[in-house]
Amino acid sequence: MISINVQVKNELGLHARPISKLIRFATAYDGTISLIKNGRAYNAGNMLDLITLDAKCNDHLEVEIQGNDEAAAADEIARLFKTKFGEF
Amino acid sequence: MKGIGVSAGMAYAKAYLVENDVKIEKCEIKDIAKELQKFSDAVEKAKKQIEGVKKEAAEDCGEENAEIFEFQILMLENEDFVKEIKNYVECFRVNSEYALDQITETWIKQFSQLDNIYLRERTIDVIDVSRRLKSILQGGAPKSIHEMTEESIIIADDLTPSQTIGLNRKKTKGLAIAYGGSTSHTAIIARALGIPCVVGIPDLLEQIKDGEPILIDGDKGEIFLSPTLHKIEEMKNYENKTRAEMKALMEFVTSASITEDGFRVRLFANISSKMDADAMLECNGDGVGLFRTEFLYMADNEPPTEEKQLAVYEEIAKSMGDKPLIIRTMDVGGDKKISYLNIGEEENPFLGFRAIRYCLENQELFKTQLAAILRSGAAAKNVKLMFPMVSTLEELRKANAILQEVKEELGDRQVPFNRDMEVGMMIETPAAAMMAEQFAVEADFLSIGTNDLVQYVFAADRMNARVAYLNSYFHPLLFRLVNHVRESAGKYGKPVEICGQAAEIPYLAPIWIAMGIDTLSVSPSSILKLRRLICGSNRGELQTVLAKVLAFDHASEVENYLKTTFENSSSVFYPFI
Repeated sequence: MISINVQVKNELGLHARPISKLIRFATAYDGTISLIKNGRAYNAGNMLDLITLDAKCNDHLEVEIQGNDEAAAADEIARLFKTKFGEF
Repeated sequence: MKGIGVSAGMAYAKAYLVENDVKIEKCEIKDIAKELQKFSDAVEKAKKQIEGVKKEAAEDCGEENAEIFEFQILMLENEDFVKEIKNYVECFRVNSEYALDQITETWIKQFSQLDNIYLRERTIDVIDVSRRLKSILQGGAPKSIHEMTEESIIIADDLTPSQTIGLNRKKTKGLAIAYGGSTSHTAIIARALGIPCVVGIPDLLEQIKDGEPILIDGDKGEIFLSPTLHKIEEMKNYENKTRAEMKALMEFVTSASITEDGFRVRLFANISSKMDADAMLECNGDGVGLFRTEFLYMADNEPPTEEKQLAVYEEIAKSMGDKPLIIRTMDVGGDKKISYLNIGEEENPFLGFRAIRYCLENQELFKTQLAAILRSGAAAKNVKLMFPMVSTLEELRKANAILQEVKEELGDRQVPFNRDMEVGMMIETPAAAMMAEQFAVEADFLSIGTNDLVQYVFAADRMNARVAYLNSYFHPLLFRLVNHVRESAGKYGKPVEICGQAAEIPYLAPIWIAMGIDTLSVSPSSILKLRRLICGSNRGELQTVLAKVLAFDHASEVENYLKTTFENSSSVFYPFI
């Protein structure tokens, strides 16, 4: 298991579009990815989890990754957050 | 069936019934495996449908907007929603429709508690997906008016303003609405979009079957169920005529609106979006006489911020060059309900806490809008401000005092704005009309809102089809009031415009022109028709018509007289009848 820290950069928080991209990635990944906020883990492959996570712009989150090629998955997730999930 | 035609034109298509949700009965299921399979099939089918809708949306309004359907697809692909329902079916041995209802409810509850408004709004997607699944499970067609799959005529008890705005403009061929009158919001939008619309048939939904072919006639207010070939033929002829008419009208795009004897009329448009402003520019209208900003407040679950409003106002103002843009502060209340404003249920909403009355009490909200409007005038000097529903001088002064405060605040914030923006008001209540002279001293311009003025003068609710006979724009009293306002404003050199239905009815335009009213604000789709009419009329000749009309006692006399006069003159008026 590895863990990284990310920050939500999207102006509207983790809204529908970023959530869609994150779920697509997490469900394709061979393993589990969780987002941690206030000591609670939210499954990145679960839609309702990501929605109830209710992450807003500038929120700091911890990401736990466990499974195949964890480092590459961590890089990709860090990239997604940094690039605002492809939004401008 | 006979109702009231509120937006002209004919349409023939299948009926698309918008019904309220039906409650699902709970049943016990013996063959669980079969029920689960049935549900899985429905999920697959729903996914295909949504993918289709998404593709279409991408073609209609761009990839960016289509991505919103991605969320719905994900809901069906991602196991949690589907699995929760399947688990429910297995655990309680119930029908999947019932399980769907239960799980949807818990999801909606969770969504509605979110702080992030953009996520909270996705509740609508949960509802949408759920409705689609439900109708597939029950063997019906999907039931959301935003996603009609074929050209249809929408049949509904009533549509909310946001529903009307979200209409699929390509596929909606017509509207038939059980309630409301000619100035209900559905009617106004239908006219702006040029979609035929009939209202005022209370038992409409009981009479029409979903999918049944129907023909509606927005001119005569008639609806024909399963029409005969003869009737359809008639409609086709009408359509051909309309097309020819459109072509003829296009010639007037480049002309100025001047009568034969040189009286220049300014034709403004009433708008509620950038799209309407574009439609006005396309037919070379002279500006915007009424920007209904309340629609900005209906788009979200919270009021638009100053920056958001500023962006909208600036974009429209810029696109118009130096043509005037009159922004009316929000006219909420009455038939325009916005839940987050907490106006509450009122016995008589039209006589209640609405428009300027609401704004004077809720100054924070009001100030935000005033700041946005003033700021939009910094670069665009064509922007003007207008207050709705003013009844007394005190109200106008109070509104102006708040405006002054906002100017000072903007000065302190050191943001650019137009300190000298013209500020006008609407004359919509009999009180304001009678006191026009006093108002003309303090307002920069007056705009007569005839829809409300008529309903208040005759004390007849414009949403109530039964008293629609009283809401006539042909009553001589209306002419006297308008003339009084014009004379009063004239004393102080202040301009007067007419907006609302009375400005659009072609038979009435000659009356206003004869009186010397030189500004009419109408739906963008009426501009060219009125321009052609103006170009072909002679103000001197119209004076005799005006004199005659002012002497009548009844609205029906006036209406008949105007119709026969202009039907018989073989002139330009003919095509509008």
